[in-house]
Amino acid sequence: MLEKLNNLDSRWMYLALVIVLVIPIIKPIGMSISVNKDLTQRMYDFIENLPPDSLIMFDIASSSSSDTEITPMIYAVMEHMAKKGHKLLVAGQWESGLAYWSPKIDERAKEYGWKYGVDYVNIGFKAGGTATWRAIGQDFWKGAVGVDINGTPFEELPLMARIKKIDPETIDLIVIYESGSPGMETWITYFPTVPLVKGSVAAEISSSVRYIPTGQLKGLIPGMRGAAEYEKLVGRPGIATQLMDAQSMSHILVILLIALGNVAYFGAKKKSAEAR
Amino acid sequence: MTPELQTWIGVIATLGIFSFLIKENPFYRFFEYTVIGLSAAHTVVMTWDNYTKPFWNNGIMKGEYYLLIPGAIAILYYFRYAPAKYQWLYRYPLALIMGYDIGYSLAYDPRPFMVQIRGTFEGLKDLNSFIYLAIFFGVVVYFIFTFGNKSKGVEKTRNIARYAMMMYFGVAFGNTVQGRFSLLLGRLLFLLGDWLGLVKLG
Repeated sequence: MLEKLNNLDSRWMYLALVIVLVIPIIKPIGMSISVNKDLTQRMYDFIENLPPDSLIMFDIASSSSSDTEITPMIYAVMEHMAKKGHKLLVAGQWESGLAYWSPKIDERAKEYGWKYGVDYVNIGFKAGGTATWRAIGQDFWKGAVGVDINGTPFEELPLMARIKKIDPETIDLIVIYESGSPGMETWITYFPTVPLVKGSVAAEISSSVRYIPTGQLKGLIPGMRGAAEYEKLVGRPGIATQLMDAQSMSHILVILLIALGNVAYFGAKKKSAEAR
Repeated sequence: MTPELQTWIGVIATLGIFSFLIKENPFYRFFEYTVIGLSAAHTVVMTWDNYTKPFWNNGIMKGEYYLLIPGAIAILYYFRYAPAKYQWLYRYPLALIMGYDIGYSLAYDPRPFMVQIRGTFEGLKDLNSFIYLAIFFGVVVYFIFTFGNKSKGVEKTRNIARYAMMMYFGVAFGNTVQGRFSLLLGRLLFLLGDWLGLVKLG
């Protein structure tokens, strides 16, 4: 039995995983979601406490492969911004991610009745890495070559009149959606005075939390789980909430498999020692 | 292209890639090569749209002719593929970039680090912060290679640091697994929702 378990074909595990994931997606169990007070709640509170008409900048530093984790975060934060009446400036350090999420942001903005150029602007991807961001930080219009993602001059976009540089007086908060590098280091290193929060893919959480106690990050959405928490806080359940049951079930399966694997391994080892 | 056709292509590609879980097969290979080809083509288009076109349209065409100088230096990169006699020219843009990056890093990179180090000693008020401080010193000792393990104190400190690091790696690995499941869930939601219509998308 133990030997059989030790040599179990991994395809049975894949099958078990698919079953465990598919059932709660089709028929959600409705497990409760608690909000992480040190990460998600902090980020929510920071945005909640900003005065209306604050300017929040989105930095897309991810690629479309992180869609399931990043999209619900973007939607939840936009929902919060719409409720509070904040303005949005969209930028991106990753060109492919920005190209992927820009239409989704436009779609949501339309739902909220945001007027492009007045309530939100997308400046698009600006090539040149951190050097370009330093230039944009000192003189936004010149550094960003004075045009948005569609080539529209900043003069024709009323919101841009209030954005002349990147500093705490101009930009009230930067929200970075990150799955790798270049990412939040750009802001922590070159713009340490501008408040920063992060929507992080799960793989990046452990390397990001150390910036919370020092205040370098004001809050963090940890992966899809964090997105579900944020959806709960803004009162609009979305994809992340919908998938949380399946996520939890998959983790239970992994824990069971690890336990079984260990029992089989040590059991077989003991048996062979006894045989000798 | 109708959305239905797009969905069908997505479904076939998803199932093709997932078929690798059963075993290596030509169906999987086809989609693997397709992804590689698409990525390469996508990179070319993105580079043209985001680098070459803005350089020309927003710079040169607007009379900023001085940009031709860095542009010319950048072109020297291509001498990497020139006959051996001229290949040395590609080192100039490389040297410029390296010098610039190193200078920039030396000027700015220490600050976030310093904030982290200061944060380690600040606010030592609860058990957690003292554990954090102890692990900090332990890991620093672990990576000082100039003294060996002869001292029992050093050996014990390194052992504790090793356990702490193992815990960190475990947490990081657990988070990565969670992230990978999220990706899988996204694909399953696509199959069950967009394709089969069994799930109403939130």
